[in-house]
Amino acid sequence: MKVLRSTILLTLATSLFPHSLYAQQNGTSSGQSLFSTNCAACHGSDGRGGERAPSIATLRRVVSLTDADLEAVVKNGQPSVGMPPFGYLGNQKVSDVVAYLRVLQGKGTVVKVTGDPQAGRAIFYGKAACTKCHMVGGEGGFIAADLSTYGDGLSPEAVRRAIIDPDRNLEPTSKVVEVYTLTGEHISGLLRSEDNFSISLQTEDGRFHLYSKTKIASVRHTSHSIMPTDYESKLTNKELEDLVSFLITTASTPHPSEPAAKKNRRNNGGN
Amino acid sequence: MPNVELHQVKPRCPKPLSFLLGIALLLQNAPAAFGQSASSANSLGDINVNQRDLLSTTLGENWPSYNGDYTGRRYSSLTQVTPENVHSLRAQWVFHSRNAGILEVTPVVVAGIMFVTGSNDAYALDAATGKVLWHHARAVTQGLIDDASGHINRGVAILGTRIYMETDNAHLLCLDARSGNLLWDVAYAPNNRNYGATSAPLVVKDKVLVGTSGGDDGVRGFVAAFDANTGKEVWRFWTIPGPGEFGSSSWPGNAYLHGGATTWMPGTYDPELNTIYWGTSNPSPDFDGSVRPGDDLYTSCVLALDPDTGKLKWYFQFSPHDLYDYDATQTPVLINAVYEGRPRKLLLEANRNGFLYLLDRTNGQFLAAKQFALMQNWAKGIDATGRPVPTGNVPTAEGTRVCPGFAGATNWYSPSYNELTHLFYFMTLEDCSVYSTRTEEFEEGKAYYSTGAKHRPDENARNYLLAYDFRKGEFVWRNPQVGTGHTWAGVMSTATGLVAFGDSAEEFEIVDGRTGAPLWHFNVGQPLHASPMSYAVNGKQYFAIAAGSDLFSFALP
Repeated sequence: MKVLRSTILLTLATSLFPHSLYAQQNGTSSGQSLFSTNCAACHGSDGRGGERAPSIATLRRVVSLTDADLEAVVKNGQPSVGMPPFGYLGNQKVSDVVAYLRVLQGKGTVVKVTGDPQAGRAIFYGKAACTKCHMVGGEGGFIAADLSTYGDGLSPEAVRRAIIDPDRNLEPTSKVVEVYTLTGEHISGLLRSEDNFSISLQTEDGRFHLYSKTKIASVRHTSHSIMPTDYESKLTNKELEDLVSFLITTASTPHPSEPAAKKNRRNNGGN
Repeated sequence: MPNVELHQVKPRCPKPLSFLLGIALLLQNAPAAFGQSASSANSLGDINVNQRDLLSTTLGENWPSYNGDYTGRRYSSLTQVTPENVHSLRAQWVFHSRNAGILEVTPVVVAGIMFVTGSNDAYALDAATGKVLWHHARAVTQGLIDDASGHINRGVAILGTRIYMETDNAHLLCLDARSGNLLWDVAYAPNNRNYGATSAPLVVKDKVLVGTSGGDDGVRGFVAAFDANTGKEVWRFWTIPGPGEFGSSSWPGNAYLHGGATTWMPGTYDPELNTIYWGTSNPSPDFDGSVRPGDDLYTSCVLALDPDTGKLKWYFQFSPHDLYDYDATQTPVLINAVYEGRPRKLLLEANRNGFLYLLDRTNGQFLAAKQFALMQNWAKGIDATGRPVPTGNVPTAEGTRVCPGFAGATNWYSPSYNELTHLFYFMTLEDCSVYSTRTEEFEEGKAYYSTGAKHRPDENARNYLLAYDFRKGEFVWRNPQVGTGHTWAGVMSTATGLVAFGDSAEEFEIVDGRTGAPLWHFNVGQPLHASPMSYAVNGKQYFAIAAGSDLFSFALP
């Protein structure tokens, strides 16, 4: 029943906006070719980043922007990081590009979940102890990623893979780093920043450890996170499916993203 | 709740890092613990701010709130940088904000971690290197008007392991200070989309206090307090009285819903008197007084409120029936000093209307006023009760030249009171505007100035940095600023008598507080619209100030 209900809800949500869906479908083929001509060279043809520009298909700070925000970025560029403006394309083409980017981001796709999200929620907060490190909707731990919007537009298979094989495709800030100081101390934590001269780690108690490299004997970057790697054996298939369903459905509940900016900055600076 | 004792805490020395860590440590799921007695922000990298940290009036390594401490003095007790060695000060790092125009933030620093905001984004930085430790991104809000559409944000408040910030559309966010994760989000200004917010919140005891912007846009101002743990609203003081309340005669019909008196800068707090001091903005509409007869309470006031209940203890109105956009949101600085032969609890404010005011903050009694604006033609003076005597120069349909102008003789940029020199330092602007008026209807989605103010092309604006001795009622020195722009940067000072500020030539500058003599400067190459602060990491003193979309940090080699 519940499974069915989530599917229906998601389908309903999209059918409630036939106009925007139509507009999106209409715009995406033009958007696709515009994207490959104008954006792909830097952001990659799948939007997942290239040598010169980051992933705009997956980065949370990009995905969470409203359409109007994204259109403003496309039009005005981001001069401080070297992105040129594309305002000359005109409004229609700019919104087509954004419509196609939404497809690359997996937005607007109907994801069918087959598990029970309510049961998955109980596993998330209980048996699997995900909230030791992760947070959803302001509840949970802080050391690992906030999963409130993580599952939005992801396939159940992708979420399941991330749970049972967490060390694939790790972000640098998810990797454990071991630091040995010249005074013989050993700190193990997650990398928060590093350059040739300094390194910052965060240990699981939340404390930041900030070192000048002149005080460090050695640094070892591991290729694993602190996430348990035994969920495949610890959880049943049904439990995994429920957990996946929870992460996807909780993320697809609308998070009111704030409308975009008119970059109209006054000189006298803001009462 | 009983009054909280004011603890004098000595500056903390860096303690050796203690390491008991391994990744086997399990995390606590419990939310941040409030009110625990264990000392907090004293180990590098360990963020846990308690009441004692916030109540300290000695600013050492940490700078735990917008003005540093509750007094609003912006006075750092750090002594490493002196008039003798300040010439060696050099840039340590630059942080570039990803999502902001001009930064107006004052960073908060706790345990070597710096918290910065730009638009609706928040960042945690390693305060020694400027490296980003986390970044909380939130898109700016579309459809805002006037000041709110500039997406200005002046910074965070902190308590326990949580930070609090306002958003451009007047939400209060609670973030986990260790990760930037959003814990809760409260929209606190409903029913009029002309509200915005630009301030840093103020934590008092277990509450987070906020205000709004929109005083030129027909909103009804308030100060509101939220439970720091849950985000639940505890009280709200409306700065425009409702029908039937004291002061309501200025607000016929539903004019009270659009009367302004917004609260767009953090207040100050005296724990012994259990009182917060909060400034209010000009009335709305700005330039048309005909629709708001009388004094227009509580616009252009400082309000003394009970932080537990929001109850008004007293008020002092600097500019009754203001017609010139003379907000009174400049920092009400709290000073304990002998004045006219006896120790007093004082409140000193350099007001946008061109006068300095000295009040007894126990009861709001007016003690003295002093004109600091060189060009001033709206008041003949201030009478014995603290009330201005108008000259009759008021906005007209054709336009009237009035000084100080629209941007104020001073403004929100911080002043500083120095406990070593006993002088009060602040930046002024000498300028005039031509004020015009026309009666208009309030309309949501539009600013509510009821016409405008403009700068005459033949008028040359100039900033001055002033040093004021409030005991004698005299200016000890007055430093004219030279440059192509005019500065929107505040002032801070240190226990070695240094006064740091942003000048009119886009430079961060330090002068000798005793004499005003320039000692050091650094070209930040961008306009300064922020107030400076000082902190220390591992025994090294830093100065930080935002300029343009960047934040700069300086220290001795």
